[in-house]
Amino acid sequence: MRVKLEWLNELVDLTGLTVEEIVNRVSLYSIEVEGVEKLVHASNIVVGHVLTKVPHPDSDHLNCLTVDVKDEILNIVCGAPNVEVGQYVIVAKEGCILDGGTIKKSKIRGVESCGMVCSLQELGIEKKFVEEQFANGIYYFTDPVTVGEEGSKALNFADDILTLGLTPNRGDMLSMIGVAYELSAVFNRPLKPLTFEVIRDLKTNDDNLDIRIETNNCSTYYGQIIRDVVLKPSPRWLSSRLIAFGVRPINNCVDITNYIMALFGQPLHAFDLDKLGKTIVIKNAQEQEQFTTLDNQVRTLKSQDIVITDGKSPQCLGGIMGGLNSEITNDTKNIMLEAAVFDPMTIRKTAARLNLHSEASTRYERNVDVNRTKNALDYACYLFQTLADAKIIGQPTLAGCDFIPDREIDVTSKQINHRLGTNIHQDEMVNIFKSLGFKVETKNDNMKVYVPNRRNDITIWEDLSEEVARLHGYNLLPSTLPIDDMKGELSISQKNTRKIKQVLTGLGLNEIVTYSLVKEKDNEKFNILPGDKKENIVLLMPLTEDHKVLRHSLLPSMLEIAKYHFSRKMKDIAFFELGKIYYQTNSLENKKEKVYLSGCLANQFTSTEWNGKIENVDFYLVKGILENLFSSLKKQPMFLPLEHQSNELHPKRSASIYVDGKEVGFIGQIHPKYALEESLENVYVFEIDIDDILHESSPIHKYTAISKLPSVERDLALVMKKDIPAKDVVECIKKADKQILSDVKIFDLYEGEPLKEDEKSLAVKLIFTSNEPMTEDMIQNKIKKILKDLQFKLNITLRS
Amino acid sequence: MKEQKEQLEQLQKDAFHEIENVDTIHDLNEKKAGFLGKKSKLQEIMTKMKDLTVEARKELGMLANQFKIKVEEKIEAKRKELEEKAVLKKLEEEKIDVTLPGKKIKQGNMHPLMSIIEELEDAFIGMGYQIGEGPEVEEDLYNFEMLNLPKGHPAREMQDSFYINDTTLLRTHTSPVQAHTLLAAKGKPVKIICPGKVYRRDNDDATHSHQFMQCEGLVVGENVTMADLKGTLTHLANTIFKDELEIRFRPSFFPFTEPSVEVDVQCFKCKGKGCSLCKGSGWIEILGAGMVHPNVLKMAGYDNKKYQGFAFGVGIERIAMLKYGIDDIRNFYTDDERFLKQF
Repeated sequence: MRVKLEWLNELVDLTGLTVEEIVNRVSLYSIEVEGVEKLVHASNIVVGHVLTKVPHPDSDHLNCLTVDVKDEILNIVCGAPNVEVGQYVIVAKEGCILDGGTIKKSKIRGVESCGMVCSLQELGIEKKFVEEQFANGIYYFTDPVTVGEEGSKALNFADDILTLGLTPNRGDMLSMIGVAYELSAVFNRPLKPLTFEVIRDLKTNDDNLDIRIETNNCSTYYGQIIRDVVLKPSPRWLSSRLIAFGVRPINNCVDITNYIMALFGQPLHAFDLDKLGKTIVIKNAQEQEQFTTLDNQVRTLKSQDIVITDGKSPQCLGGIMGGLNSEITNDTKNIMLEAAVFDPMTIRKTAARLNLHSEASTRYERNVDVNRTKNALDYACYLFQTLADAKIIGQPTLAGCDFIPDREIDVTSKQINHRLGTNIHQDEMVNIFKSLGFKVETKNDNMKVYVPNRRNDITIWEDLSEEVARLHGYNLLPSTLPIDDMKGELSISQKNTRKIKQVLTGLGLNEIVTYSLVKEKDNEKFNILPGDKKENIVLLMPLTEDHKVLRHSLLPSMLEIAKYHFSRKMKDIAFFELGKIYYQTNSLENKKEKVYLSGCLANQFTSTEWNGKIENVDFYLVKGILENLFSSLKKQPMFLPLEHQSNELHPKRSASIYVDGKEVGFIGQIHPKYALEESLENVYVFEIDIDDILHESSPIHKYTAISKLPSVERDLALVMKKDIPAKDVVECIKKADKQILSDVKIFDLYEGEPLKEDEKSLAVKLIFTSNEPMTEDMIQNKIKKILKDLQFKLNITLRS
Repeated sequence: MKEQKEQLEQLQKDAFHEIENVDTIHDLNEKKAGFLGKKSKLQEIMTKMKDLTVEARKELGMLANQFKIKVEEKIEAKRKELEEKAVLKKLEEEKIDVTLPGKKIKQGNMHPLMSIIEELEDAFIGMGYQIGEGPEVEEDLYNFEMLNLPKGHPAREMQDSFYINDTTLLRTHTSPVQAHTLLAAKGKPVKIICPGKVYRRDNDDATHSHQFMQCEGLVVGENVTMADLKGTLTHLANTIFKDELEIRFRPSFFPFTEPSVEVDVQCFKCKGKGCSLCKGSGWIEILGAGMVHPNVLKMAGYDNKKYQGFAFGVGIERIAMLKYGIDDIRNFYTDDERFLKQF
């Protein structure tokens, strides 16, 4: 809502307040002020009187003028096609700074020019607001003005305009009167009532309207006949206010309806009475009915739309836009002026469906105060009478309701103080309500507040507590903390989440966050984990194909991030993300969100480059990281060769991860083909469905006594078939002795001469620990047993 | 006798001189054998002792002993000196250039948005809050209706949403967690914050992101007041900006709170004096808040005559951008390592 202060000051007494004071106080006590501006900034502009005009000797479109600016008579060369002798115009004198530059004395094709006759655009008014007759030339006054008067004052653009950022609940402030009520409360200044008199022609008794409402969505309809309208431009005071409000002045008839809307918040519509006739029926449109609105567009209506008909066909789309058939034209003599109230929801739906939002529909959507409708119509009549020399025929005809009584809300100061945590006296509260124009009756502690219909945002006592809080001043609100016995704690899953992040960042991985919405194709990738058959959750109206479905895996986006880094020569990466994936099974009712943990590592992991010590990321490094992670979660993961088909993973360098016997994830190198397509090299990834694990608390672990005796180590070099997994060897050894064998470590892998081609050798270190002294015999017996088992179960022999 | 005495004296002089000039432990050991060993000059002198008188033998034996002690002392002193030299030499050989770069070990960082969330969580846990969670694919019922935003409510226009079907959408704010938490608490006091991802139908640019993060706060009890909200948010602001800053409330509107306020924090750059960051006002808008609307409590089964509470919602990206001076929200989702490493 744009509020012209000069106009506002006519409705509420703001004398003595600076613009800064107004802006600050309104921001803190009422509503956000989004902007403060003057429409015309230029200084050194004055009203001039064009005395003479002769064509420029050296040009076919320029004219040489003499212009009286009171103190002097200026020679000005002017190119505007509409400049004429006798016009009162705006002259930018020497030194005046405009958007186009500074005005200087200069010679234009040999003729001296000391200033410029201005168009409104040159003064900074947006072209869309400039009246048609001035759109392609200079502006000239149609009202009496004084030569030499300051230009912006004469134009009525010298004051400031506030832009209020109205919240959706404050539809009451979509009018100058509404703003005046509010500022009257904020500054405790009196309102200034509008005084006017409508002279009604009561002679013609049969000049009556027949108005019928045949829909539930129109509560009030006033019609007023106005005859002998003289169409002409509006006076400066009115057109300037409309421009400030943000509406282009057209002619007095249209301007009056817009002016009333800006002033009262009551949209009006003027019909050509001679085209409309005197029968008016307000009803719902017929389904699929065609109607041409005054912007010459054919609209297809639905039965929920409201139409104003002449009893036969639609003449106006109620609350939205008039029809071409009964539009005011330059030939219009007599009009039927409508002041109506429509159902907000109906208007919202129609405006949204037809994408036809107007100042009128905006107001209807936020509730128009019926108690002000008659007054708005009367004031419009007064303006028609004074600005269009029109005859107002009788009283307006009313159909429907003309008054809604105040809402009564009972509240005590104790209630309000308890909500706010304040100690505000009841008298102050009463004063605040009165300053808002609410009547109050007090009876002991109780305040009965009569909230007028215009403030439809206030329906319960809590709403009143807001009025008290803000007008008392939020700066006076104490600052305390809630007193209670609630205890704060992270949940198990939140604690585990933190632990995972600590471990992984500690091991050198950077946490990333990627978008949940991905390409449809992304959900076909890394479709590896067993479990539910994941179906896409797809947006009804995606903004782009890139963000169309919710992700099933974190990896496609993560690899995009990897690609981003690769293409910027940052190829040593280590990332992880802990985030949700989303899917449905069969229908959206079975939708699921699960937390996944994914990672992506590539190339150098640690390095001391100057001495050539570089550790590159490989399968075992990533596996080690995960083993560390699971160990911190008190879990023992198992890694087995990946058996699922995958286009994204290297089939021979990937593993499934099992925890507690359940397959929860995978780890592996990116498939060379996929890597080539994506221009990625040496990239290893992992993805774990961590959701269940997050919710498990680790049990309290009982302590194991540490042996006081030194442990004994023995190394064995074992020869076996290449395809025997190391895991099987270790398990077999561990099974062979469960008494003193405390650990088995693999410390060497050898393939090649003198071994056979299908053989390999693993060197294992056996660690024996016991609380009792161990003899060499004991250990040799154990080793014998181990070798026997290895030989028997896996055909493994000692390397000779 | 006199002859032997002189010989010993001379021998000691020679020994001291020779020992002094030894360079290696090996040579020193040879000298030791030469002067004190079985075939040493001392032994030569001593063998001649049998020709002397008892007294003279006694005296000479004493002198010989003294000689032995002195030479041994000298040798040990020299040995120590040589060993020290050897250590110094070895140390010199082992010298490294300490200015060469150290081993590059990867250091992982938490994502800046997550760090801010953790900071908030810690601050609020300290004040007795639990951390609430809720689904991101949300029902219209929880995202709008139970927050006092019935169908057709003008405030729904403020949020253009990603719908999945007529009744399901990606949550547009973390506020639906309020509704879930209240329903689960079954009329009991509640004190939570809920950080999380939210989605709006905005095209991504420097200041808009179709996905971003919010943190919701909700406290419901019998005596929770708007003054408590102010105190709590002051603590929040000071946690974030690590300073003693004031906050202020400005009237605003949210359908799920009444009264509703926008909350400004004193500009942490200029401390309220006015600068380019706060556009001269001295204040920076950081979040929206208010007292929980009685309809929200009622719909969740609370007795709104007995219970009241406050709620607030803060944009994590906005906080991070303010705090670190980040000018493009897309940075958080591009995940450039050079960006992530800075926090």
